[in-house]
Amino acid sequence: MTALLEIENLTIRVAGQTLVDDVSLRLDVGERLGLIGASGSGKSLTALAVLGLLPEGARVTGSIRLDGKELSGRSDRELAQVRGRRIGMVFQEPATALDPLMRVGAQIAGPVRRLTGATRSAAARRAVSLAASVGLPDPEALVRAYPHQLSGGQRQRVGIAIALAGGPDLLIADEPTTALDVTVQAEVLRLLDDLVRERGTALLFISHDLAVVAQVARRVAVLADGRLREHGPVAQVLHHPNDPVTRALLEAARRTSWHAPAAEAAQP
Amino acid sequence: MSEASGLSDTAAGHGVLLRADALHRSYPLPRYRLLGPQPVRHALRGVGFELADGGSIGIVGESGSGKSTLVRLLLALDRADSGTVTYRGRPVSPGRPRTLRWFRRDVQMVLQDPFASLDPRMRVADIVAEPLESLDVPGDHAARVTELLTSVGLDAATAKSRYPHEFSGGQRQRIAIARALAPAPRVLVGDEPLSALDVEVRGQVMDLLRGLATDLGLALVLVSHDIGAVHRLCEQVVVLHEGVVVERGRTADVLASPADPYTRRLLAAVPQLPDREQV
Repeated sequence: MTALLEIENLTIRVAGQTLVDDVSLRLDVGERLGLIGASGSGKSLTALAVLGLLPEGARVTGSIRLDGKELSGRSDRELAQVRGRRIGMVFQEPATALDPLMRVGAQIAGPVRRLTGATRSAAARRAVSLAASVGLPDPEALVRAYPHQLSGGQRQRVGIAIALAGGPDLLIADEPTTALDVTVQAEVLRLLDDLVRERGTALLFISHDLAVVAQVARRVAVLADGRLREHGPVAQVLHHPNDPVTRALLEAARRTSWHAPAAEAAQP
Repeated sequence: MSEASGLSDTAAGHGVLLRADALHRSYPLPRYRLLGPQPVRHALRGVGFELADGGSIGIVGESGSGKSTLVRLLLALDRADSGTVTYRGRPVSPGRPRTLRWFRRDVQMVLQDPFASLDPRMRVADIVAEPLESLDVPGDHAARVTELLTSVGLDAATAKSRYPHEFSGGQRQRIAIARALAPAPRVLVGDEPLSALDVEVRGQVMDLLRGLATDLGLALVLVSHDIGAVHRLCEQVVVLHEGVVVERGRTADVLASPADPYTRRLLAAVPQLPDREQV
């Protein structure tokens, strides 16, 4: 079977430095993969490469295929057909990802029109239903609000609604909950989980937080210094890590976190 | 830190260092109507706690809980509408630097962002020496800087003449800690000092803070949304929600059996790594 997304021997060099080094990853239809790494590990660059959004001057070698079709090396115009329509993206900072001067509804309706060719009024209606589907309260009133009138969690829900506007087959979420409070993070993770499950959307979830990744992904890949160190099912990687980098990350996560006693008792 | 096992020690004469009592602070909100009362946001509504000498307390809360307002009041950077902050029994509130010198020598802080909190144009030696100068601390400042940089695990000889941008995030936070420790304070207030760091570095800086607290008998106020950090570093915890203390007690007790519904919701939301055994 052809993978939905297949990254092969991806190498990214910027200013003579190799920031992503020979990374290969595969994501099947509806699958959920977590990409873990510390800052500077190359996880965000990998995601940007898939979208063709790397900074100017970045040299890319290797192959990125969507449904078997090569994305790497295609023109920006061709990639614009893929972005939003086939691949949606949720960014870390919902406050800066949205246009502060534009009503929330218009920011959702814009990509709906561009990606689906809907009429203005149909797109406006679709914006309301998307706002409702990401759990925004009173969606009909909320689409008329500006981003600053929303809470951080609500803004990230708007970001997710925009990412879903084109009905993508793959959602890439880059640290989507890092800027959020822990209770809000839990809600947004649950929402993402529900949405990709309902729609059969594949998810590439990027985070430095192993516990967060373990919650949404079924498989994880660990990056360090641009190299893929380990790759496998969540349970295997988190319980029997083979690579010293993964082991060190896990050790640090366990040593700095709080482990809920109730969670242990609740497990059968 | 085992000495500071909480209220009993306070009562037993360890002494209260820093005390917040019934703090209220509200901010005016923009007016949308010409008439009627000025809208206000109540950031703190009667918050109080005590920090014992050598003790450690975590102030836990999310955005809008009043954490940042509380930090400003504790450091005498802002004035409460009502209520008091006292240090060793003396009230503290914003004032001229000279009149607060005694307080600044004793109570220092470390901020969240090691990239923003260090002056990029100053050499590390000058950054660390700055509080020694401004607070008129007597003694050999150069020798003290070397001692401080060494105590936070940096190579003083090479670090001194460098600029902040030459260091990683974790090293910068070590520099910020060295700077805070310069006047030999009794209390260190950390405002999310670990949040901007990668998990491995976070562990190292946590160890450093714990070690320093033990070695120097430093009392610690850790303001954080990070339950893990509070769990690892603080004997006592105060849970702040919408400007009110909803729960307080020994950290171990509160985390094991939270009584308040908000605390329960907060703890339930903390992402958990799967158990080692459960494969």
